[in-house]
Amino acid sequence: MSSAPPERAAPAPRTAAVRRWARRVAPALVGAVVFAATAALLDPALRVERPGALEAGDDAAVRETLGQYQRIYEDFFASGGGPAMLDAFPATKELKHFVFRDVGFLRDAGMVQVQDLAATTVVAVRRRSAGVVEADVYEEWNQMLQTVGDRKPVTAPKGFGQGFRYTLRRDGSGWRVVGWDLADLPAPERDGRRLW
Amino acid sequence: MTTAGAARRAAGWAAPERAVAALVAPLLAAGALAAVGWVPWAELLAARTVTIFAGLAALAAAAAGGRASASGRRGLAAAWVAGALALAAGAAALATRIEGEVDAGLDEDGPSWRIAHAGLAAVAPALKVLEVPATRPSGKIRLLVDGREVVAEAGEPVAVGRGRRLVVRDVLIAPALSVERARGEVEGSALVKLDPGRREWFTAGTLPHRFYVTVPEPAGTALAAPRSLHVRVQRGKLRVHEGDLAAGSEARFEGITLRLEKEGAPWARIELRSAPDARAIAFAVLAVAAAFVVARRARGLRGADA
Repeated sequence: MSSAPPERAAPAPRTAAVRRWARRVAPALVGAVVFAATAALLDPALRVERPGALEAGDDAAVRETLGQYQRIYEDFFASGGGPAMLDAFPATKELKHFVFRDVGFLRDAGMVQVQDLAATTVVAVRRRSAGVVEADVYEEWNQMLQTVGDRKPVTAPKGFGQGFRYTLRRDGSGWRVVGWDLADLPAPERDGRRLW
Repeated sequence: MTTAGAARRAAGWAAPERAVAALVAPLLAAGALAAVGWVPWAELLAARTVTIFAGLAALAAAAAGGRASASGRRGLAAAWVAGALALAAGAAALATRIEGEVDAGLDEDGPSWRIAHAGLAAVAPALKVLEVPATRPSGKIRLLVDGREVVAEAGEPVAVGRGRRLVVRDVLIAPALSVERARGEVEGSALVKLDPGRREWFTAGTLPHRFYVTVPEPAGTALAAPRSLHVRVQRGKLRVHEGDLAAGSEARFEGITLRLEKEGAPWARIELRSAPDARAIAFAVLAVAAAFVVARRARGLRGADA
């Protein structure tokens, strides 16, 4: 004995409309997900980012990174190339290499360069592209050369002010200086006082 | 649900028309993001993902055309095929798209391109400058591009095959500079290709110094070596030398000698771009318009039948 299969009830009009809509939209959604996954794999540089200003907290983090960069930079010269702070120096390998080339050049000449940062004024921090910012900094330094062994002065202390433009890139551990260049920045106004 | 029903449903989901929608929708969305500035156009057009999706969409559109043809809907089939061709042309254009520039010295073998963007199958041409004009900025320059001789007028684009165009932006004389240590060891000696009026820098050997050099804007139209350069030498934070350096003279600082020779050598800055083919763009627009019209008509007829 057999019985006829029960007839399926026709879907309600609203359910049918939702299904039709889902059928139309689903391919686009699937395509978008596959596109995003493929782009992440093949084109990691392709990012969706709102153009314009820095993200919240970036300005302060970049200023902090630059402060740390200058402090350790001073220390490298004062110690004649002591590597204690090498890992904490927020710069690329290439920049670290150049700093040590500089210290080595002085050491070969039997000298140590003592340079103290009298003042630093961050004039501007700008976003350049995804995860890359540019900072204009006016720096005021005092420096003198000393002999390596007995630290006798070779030159009189001398001060100077100079604008620099730093490029910083964000990586897994935070911001890192990836390049610098000279920048023609005016000296900050301090009621005629100079710190160097 | 029966096995046949499930298969029919699966086949429906995998239909080429749906595949086209799945492939084209993210391309349109990415284009919209680029239009509002959330994604840079240049990076989007150079993305391999975009080229791959456009290529796959072309294949899916061709398959949809085949399906429409098999079911006797010839107009729709023609529209799908036109769309497939337009997508294929777009994918090919993206794959071969390239942008870059080169600073090539006269008779220099294999100058290296600075590639800004390059598609999946893009190749920069092998280039050699054979002859430069005696004047600038206008004049003819003779080039060897992929083994073929090409004469270009400065500032005018010249086609060099595969949709690529070269533009000679400028022809200048590179000053010859050398850097020596106190004991006479030469740390570096080079023809430095510099943009007039711009402060640019180079390093020499193992020295920690940056040599900032500014070439003055050429005074006349004759192609001649600069009579002097403005030089600033920086060691880290410290400026160790600054001043004008005349041709044939030298500057000394920190036990280093920087010398500017009297003679230089010609070089050309040449730009490479892929030029979109206007006919291909017009064809693509027409194909998409035709597909749209046919699809609308087919839908209208189906509605009338119902």
